[in-house]
Amino acid sequence: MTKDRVKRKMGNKDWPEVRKEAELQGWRVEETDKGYMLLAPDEVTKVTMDRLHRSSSPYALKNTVRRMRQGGFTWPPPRR
Amino acid sequence: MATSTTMTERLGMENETLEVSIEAWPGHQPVGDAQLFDLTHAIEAFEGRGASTSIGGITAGIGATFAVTETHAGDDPANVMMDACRAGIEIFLGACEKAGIIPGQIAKVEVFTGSYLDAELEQEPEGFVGVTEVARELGVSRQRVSELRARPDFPAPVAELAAGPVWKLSNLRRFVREWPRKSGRPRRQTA
Repeated sequence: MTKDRVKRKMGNKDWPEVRKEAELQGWRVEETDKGYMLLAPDEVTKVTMDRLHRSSSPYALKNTVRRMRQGGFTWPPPRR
Repeated sequence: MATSTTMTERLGMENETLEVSIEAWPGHQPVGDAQLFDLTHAIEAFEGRGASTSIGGITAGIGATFAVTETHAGDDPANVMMDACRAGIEIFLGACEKAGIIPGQIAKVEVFTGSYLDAELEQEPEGFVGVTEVARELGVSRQRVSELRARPDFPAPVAELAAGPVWKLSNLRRFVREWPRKSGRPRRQTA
């Protein structure tokens, strides 16, 4: 079954959705005092993200997702 | 006197954020998790905004994506893109030094606008389909799909699994668009 999707720009507020999807795709999300460490299912690729409240850019989450895509993360989420 | 507009003036930039993405080959020393976070914070300290860093990927080395500058309407695109590239590399190498990381050679640098990044992250992932979905897409039976596969213009599957062949949906859509479909049962071939 397919659902029509409404395209909208991603913002830092979408972190919970990205985190949930990452975990569904086999990524491990570790919260440290320095920020988030995202570990790809290949257990080699690691991506960092600063804590969003400390980040000076609305592009922080987008930059993180771009790096995760290079590690095999599928975004937007695949249709299931 | 008549004024002429150059190509770069006509294609001047809009007000945009410029982003840089850098990949490096691995250095001689391993990079720990704490150093990777230090690199993220050092990039911010060098005024690279919204930084995310990583290790792995194609190069297996470190990489980073961050915003470097804002462009203004009418800026010469060649100048601003070159300047952003240079600024990005300087920020990256300066931040590596501050974080105590000695990266390998830089393998790749990309410069792109914030609106390009938005568009990239809105792009639907590639869909994959099997024989049943192909049959549904074409409005034919599964057996007819097997016959159609013999046509030279039918797309080759991207994988042959134990469960059957798998196609990229985008490849199939082109066939659906261009297939000169004839109504009725196909005429029997006679010797």
